[in-house]
Amino acid sequence: MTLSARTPRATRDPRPEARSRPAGERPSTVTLPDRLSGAAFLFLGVGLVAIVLLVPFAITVYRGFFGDGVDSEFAGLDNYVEMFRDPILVRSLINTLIWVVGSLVLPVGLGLAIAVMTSATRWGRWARLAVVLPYAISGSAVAVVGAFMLQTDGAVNQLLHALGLDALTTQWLLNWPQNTISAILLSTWQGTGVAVVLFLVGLQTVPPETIEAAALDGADGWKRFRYITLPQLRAVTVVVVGITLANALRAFDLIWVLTQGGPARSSETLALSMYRETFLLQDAGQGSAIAVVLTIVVVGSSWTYLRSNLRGTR
Amino acid sequence: MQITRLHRTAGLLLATLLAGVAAACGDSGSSGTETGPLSLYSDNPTWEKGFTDAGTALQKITGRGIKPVSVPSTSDYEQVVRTSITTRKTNDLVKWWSGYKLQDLASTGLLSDLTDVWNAAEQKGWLDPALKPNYTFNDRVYGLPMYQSYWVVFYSKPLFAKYDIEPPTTFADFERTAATLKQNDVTPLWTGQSDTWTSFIPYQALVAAQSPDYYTKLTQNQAAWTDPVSQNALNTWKDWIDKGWTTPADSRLADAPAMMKSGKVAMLPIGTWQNSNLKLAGLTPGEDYGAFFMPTSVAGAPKSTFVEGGAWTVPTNAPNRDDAVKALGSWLDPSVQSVWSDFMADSSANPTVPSTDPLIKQIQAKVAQDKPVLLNRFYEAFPSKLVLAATTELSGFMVHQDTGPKVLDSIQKTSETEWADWKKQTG
Repeated sequence: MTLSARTPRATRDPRPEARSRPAGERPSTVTLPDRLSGAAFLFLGVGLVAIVLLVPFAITVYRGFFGDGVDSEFAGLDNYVEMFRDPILVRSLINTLIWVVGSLVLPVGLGLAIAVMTSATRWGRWARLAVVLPYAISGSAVAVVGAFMLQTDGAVNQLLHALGLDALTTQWLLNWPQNTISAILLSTWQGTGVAVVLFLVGLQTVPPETIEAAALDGADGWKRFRYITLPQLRAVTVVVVGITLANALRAFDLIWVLTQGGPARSSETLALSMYRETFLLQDAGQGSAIAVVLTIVVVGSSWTYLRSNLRGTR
Repeated sequence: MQITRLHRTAGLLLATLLAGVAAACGDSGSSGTETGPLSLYSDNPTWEKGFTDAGTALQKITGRGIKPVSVPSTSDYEQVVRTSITTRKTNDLVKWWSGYKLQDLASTGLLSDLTDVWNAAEQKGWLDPALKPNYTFNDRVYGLPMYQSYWVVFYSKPLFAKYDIEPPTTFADFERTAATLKQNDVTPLWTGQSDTWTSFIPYQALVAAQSPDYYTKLTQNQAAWTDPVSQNALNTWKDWIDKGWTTPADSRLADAPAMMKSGKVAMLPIGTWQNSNLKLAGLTPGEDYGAFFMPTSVAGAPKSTFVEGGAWTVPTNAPNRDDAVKALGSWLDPSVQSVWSDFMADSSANPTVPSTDPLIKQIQAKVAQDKPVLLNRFYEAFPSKLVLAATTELSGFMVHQDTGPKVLDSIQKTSETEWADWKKQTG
């Protein structure tokens, strides 16, 4: 829009160097009023981002180099070193990685499978509705229902007991890593719907001729999916994986309501550790260091993944 | 041309938005409202009706009632209060805890001095002067008692009657009672760590049953967590868990009244403030449940019970600070306290106000008769960060009972750091 608005002005430029430029190309010099006007508009956008995002982040980075509440003395990299020394924070880091792997395998894998298996069936819309509905529920509500089901005396163990499968009953929320895996399963139940919707949109963009041609060439169902459909879903897969990655790394509400990160902080992820250290233990230095590491992991992994994959889809 | 106009409009909208955000972030200069109820932060949604009703009685004296705002999770509540009292957007009154937790908050300088209010109430005989140290920091009072709860063991009368059990008077009796109940497929004792703080309940009970003196020294940093008394407490607790005498570690306190009502659990060790929640679950005191004090486990050990009273506080940034302080001057008035203690079904902090609840009357009579050593509840008896670390460790112990010595070692190490920090913080 901006270009089309400026193009006529550029062509009216009386200067010879401007006239010799091909039509539609932006002039190399911009008038001062244009610059000021642009800066003013840029200032608003940049200002908002700075106030809401960059300034708090800079303060967080700065705070991460200081100790906890009492003296808040300069601590250098102590808070970062402590992160890798404290077994609780190391476990929190491991839990975060389990969340990433679990969320990539389960919601993305299941989402793709459900979308592919239900896209061409008549009853598919009902199956999809059942899968998508939990996405409308908040993480906290899912956790409340999850706790009711997964407590030692909860519905899941009662069902297993009623079926005579007592050997399978366990304390789902009390032992590590079961409690982390249980939380991931609940998150999967809630979050698979959005992956299904996105994959369905992707499937609609796959030209049916390509699949028909493959069928005529004798490719069976799995081969048609593996060599024809899946490569054409690459763009949407990148988006789904990107969203899932970010969601997994910042998982908080579901875990907090389900276990409060316990018992003994065994189900904490970095997001919970950050909250606990900052607001409950009032150690803003340690909390800030965790926040910085978490930010680097989230932005770094998302950037790397999206950059490497989007390049191939251009 | 159109685009320029669009840009101008967008710029104007953004500028307006930014100005609005800036105004909202800035000091609103709020001086509160001159009429209407005073706002109150609480972590207990089930008490909202009690606060409102007591506020109506308070309004007749001071002209202003109470409008409660609840944050149900205790952990979230603490964070909300600690953050909000630094701003002008806090509430007029804040429900808090006594002891170290109050001192911790008072040390920030963000709580109003209530010394005059306390002294006036004490002169009228509305307060027990013995409670004053629990509400004092650097010789000034920063909180007023909200209620007076004793820690007892509530028990199911129908289950005890069914299995022909009398309320235990000795520790051996208590363990026999538990064994009998377990034999009949009833879980004897409610315990849990899902609410995090509740993990200290068995520990404090088993320590005080052996030595109230040790517990007092522990709260004054004059005893070690690795002492044999603490070790014995964890050993006994492990034994109870191994025998299946306790509910699973992921049990929630909110479910305890229903578990007692359905006959799944027979005993609930908790403060008498839980009386109102048992009633809410449809249980009748004296008929469906009774209460006894935890017996001592060592011959010659003095009887003891834990007490807690909560605390009313007024942030210095409260929009209606003066009216809030004035309202607290009448909080202990018998006309307000009778409404409040009736709702709570618990003892009033004002000793001149009798309880109307038959069970609480019995407990008060027992306290007057036995004169047990009154101990500060675990939650308020140590610096906040130590409480948080200890309850976290004890939560872990509830799941992995073989870690007892490691748990006590870890709490001891944290204790040394946190007491040193506490001394620095409070000068």
